[in-house]
Amino acid sequence: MLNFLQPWSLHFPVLLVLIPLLGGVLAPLLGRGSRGWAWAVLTMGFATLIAIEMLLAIRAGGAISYPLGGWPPPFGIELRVDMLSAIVALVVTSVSWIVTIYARRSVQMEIPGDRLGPFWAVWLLAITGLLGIVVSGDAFNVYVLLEISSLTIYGLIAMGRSRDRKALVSAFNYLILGSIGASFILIGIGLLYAHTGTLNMSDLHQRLQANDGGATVLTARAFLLVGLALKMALFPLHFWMPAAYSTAPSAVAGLLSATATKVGIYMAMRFLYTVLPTEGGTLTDPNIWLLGGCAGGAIFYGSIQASRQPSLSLLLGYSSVAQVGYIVLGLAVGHIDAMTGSILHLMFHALMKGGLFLCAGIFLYRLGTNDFTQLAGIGRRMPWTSAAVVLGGLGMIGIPGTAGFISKLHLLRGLFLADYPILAMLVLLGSAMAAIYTWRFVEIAYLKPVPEDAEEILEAPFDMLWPVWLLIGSSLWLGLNPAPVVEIATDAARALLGGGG
Amino acid sequence: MIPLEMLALALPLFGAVLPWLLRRQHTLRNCGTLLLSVALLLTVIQLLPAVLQGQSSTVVFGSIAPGLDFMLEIDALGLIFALVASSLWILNSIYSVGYMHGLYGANFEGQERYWSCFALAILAAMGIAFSGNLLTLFLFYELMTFSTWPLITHHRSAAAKRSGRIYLAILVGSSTLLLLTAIVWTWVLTGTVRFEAGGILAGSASPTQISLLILLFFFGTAKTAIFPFHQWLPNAMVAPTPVSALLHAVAVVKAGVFTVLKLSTSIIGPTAMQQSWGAEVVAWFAAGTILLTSVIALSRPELKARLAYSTIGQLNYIVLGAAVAFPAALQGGALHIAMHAYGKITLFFAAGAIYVASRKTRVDQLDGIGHRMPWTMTAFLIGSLSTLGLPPLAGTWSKWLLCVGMIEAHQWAFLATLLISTLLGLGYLLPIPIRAFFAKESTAAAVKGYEDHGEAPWACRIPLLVSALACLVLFFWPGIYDQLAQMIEGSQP
Repeated sequence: MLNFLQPWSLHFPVLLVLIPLLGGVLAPLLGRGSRGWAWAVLTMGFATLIAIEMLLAIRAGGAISYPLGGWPPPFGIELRVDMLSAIVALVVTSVSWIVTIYARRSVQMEIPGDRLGPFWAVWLLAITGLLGIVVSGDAFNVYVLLEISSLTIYGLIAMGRSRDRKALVSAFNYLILGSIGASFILIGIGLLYAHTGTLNMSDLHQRLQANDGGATVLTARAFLLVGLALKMALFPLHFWMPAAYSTAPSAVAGLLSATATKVGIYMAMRFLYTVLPTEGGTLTDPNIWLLGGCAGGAIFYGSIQASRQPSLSLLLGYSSVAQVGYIVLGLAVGHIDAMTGSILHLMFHALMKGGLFLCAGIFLYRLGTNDFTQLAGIGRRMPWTSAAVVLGGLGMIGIPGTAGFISKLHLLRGLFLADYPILAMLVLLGSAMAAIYTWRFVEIAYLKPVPEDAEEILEAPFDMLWPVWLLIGSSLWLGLNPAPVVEIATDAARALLGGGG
Repeated sequence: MIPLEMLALALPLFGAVLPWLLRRQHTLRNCGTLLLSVALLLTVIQLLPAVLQGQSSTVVFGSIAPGLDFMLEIDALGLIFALVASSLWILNSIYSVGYMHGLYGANFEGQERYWSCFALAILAAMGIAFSGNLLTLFLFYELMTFSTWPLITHHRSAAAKRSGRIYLAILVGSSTLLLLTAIVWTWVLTGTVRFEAGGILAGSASPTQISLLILLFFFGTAKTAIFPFHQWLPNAMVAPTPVSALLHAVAVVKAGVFTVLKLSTSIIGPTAMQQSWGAEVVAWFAAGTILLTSVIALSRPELKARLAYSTIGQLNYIVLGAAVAFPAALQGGALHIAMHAYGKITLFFAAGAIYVASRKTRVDQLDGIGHRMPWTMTAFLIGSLSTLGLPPLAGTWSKWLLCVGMIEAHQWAFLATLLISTLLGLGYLLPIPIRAFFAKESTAAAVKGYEDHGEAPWACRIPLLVSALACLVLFFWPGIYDQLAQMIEGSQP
């Protein structure tokens, strides 16, 4: 553990929220130019450091409970960080740090100069909200922080308007759907509160486990499931996502795909396993088949749609729909290996898809578009960026040697052991279909001739390329040496299925 | 010091980087690749003594979870494949220079990609040969699929694109849907994916499960081109001929049959293979593939397509051997990996040399060509006879052992299949050299601008003469290959 962090180690959970919050509040004061960006990089770097330290601390000493203001739970507000929260917090901070480093040029190109200060403020506040959800041990606080992150994210997406006016429509659509989702979650939490009289998550779980309350809790579960499905873009409630991601500023798309949907999935894991009552640590059959069915639909529909989109951003958006399906599949079955696979995929997908969206952003930066018609022959014009897309795509397929394979392997093992071979076949079919949409890009980039009228373009600037390769490269490294990551994911899965940290 | 196994992977890996480092210096790059290929062969030879003395060691280069590693372990079967692939890489590197430079000039388009992907495919072959468990094998198996796709689509034409799609659809589809299922299932049933003598499934899986696993494994390994997954191979012939020669007569397809032999000996186990109905089904499919492709080969006028169908048939000899799994059949299958490789690569080299010299691609254009290209066509004759398994050439021994295996297993129908396919082979291969030497040349068949051609450049001719010579030498001294084949699990009666 780093020494200068030692005195603060007790306060890691709250610092993780406070640092980006303060950073966000101060960002508008820094004005134009690159200063806001440098501030954001600094803030996120510090947050990442804390997330790493926190993960190490939890690995050594178990879950951390932090009573806000010194009021003991369940009366006061509790921040509670177990292995799963620490992993998701680390994913959110580290990937958004790298995306922030990358974002300087593309943000300066896509956002008008006088809005740069507010942009970075909103950027950091969105991350604050997401991190808050992850560390919160209180159901109502989860809702509040969810609204903070959602409102800021609507703003971030709408800022894509100077590039593409459609950003306003997709941000508005997302606003409506996101608000419905959040209201559903609020209703669900309210019903649980009405039934138990507590909002503290572990307290809720204990009381619900003792008295599962029949219709009230069932209704609450239904509201929560629908709300969460909207937030994590689970088929058939995914339709806001591809539009939002493809019209948002390209750096925002990278940020959201790696963090926002992942936090949605985290919330689903949290609520389904450590708040709502479970049957001996797993979901009941109707729940499994409902979630499994939606996940299967996501894999099929997302992959098919991805292979017929006109631009790389849209392709990636639909591919995310499909990949969320994988994660939910493992989450639903509730077998330890499948859950490990889900958590692994949550991490690895953040790395790979984050990197891929950044590549799409690079094409946008150089070409002004990432429509496939303009990407013909791009493999020869921008070899490093295109190679990164191919490697990321191989990870989506789950080729051995990439991180995607590791998560898929655990997921498959879990599905086999939990005796759902049909769902296992879904995973395999999904990866075969990922090959189709990945290869669409490969054929366009490498087999089509460069258009006659194409202007000379340079490969992406180095300060945009290296964050991309850091993300993609680490996903490849983890494809061969994932043992430590698999270990912590297994710990997290075990804690989750054991009913709380 | 880095272990020799890792060196065998590092050399081709360096070969994959080299073309990008030496973008302008072709000669230096060609010499460098050649040097690397020689160094690789020497490395593989260095590995021989330990295996012949029965020692074994493992190298771990990545870990997923305790007991689930990416690891290398060398055995006799792997060495056969590695020796074949590395020795023929040398010949092919020379041949590539002659062929590609002869056709497209010294500075042909996409040369970096060409050389780089070639080396990657060899890396994958080495990895498959030396893999110590199913996981590692799968890693390199997929690497081989993806590294050879750019070679198949080298010309970027519509036909190349279409073939590339078929190639990926069949190979990736079968390996992710069937092979990976089988691997995970094996892992779930036994808790391990290690290759162990006599198999790991016995005792952990019921006979029905074993049979289903055999079906998943054998049909998932579509690189063996077993019916109904054989279409990728004839389609892959749009690639430049050196690619067809090394990859689709040696590295890629032999990776497939190597995999099934390995599965038969070290995962399922010969005893379980002999008793299971799954293996029976696979054997019938393999036999059907042999006959079917022999008949199709008869009707194909393009030389390379005919060779491709002949390759499918020969590969399924090995699949048949692996499925029957009696000692002689396994030994014959293993030996056939080597023996067929030298014969078939000679044929492909010759087909390419003919194209370079005369631009002829069809069998019916080749009447009388033996007088213009005596060296090439003599080598073609030797290659054909060796492929058919006729003495005094290398293919004889492996076919002999395969036949003995069928007799041991009392599989008379399969024995008949082998013999009939030899007869059919006589029908589709031998007429080519015979007509080349004895038929009268027709001027109508000549390609415009190449009426008065001679032999192909020496860089094309030397490799094919060397491999033809190897067919001859290996008949009289099958030596090391024979010794290794006898050491394979389950090949001792």
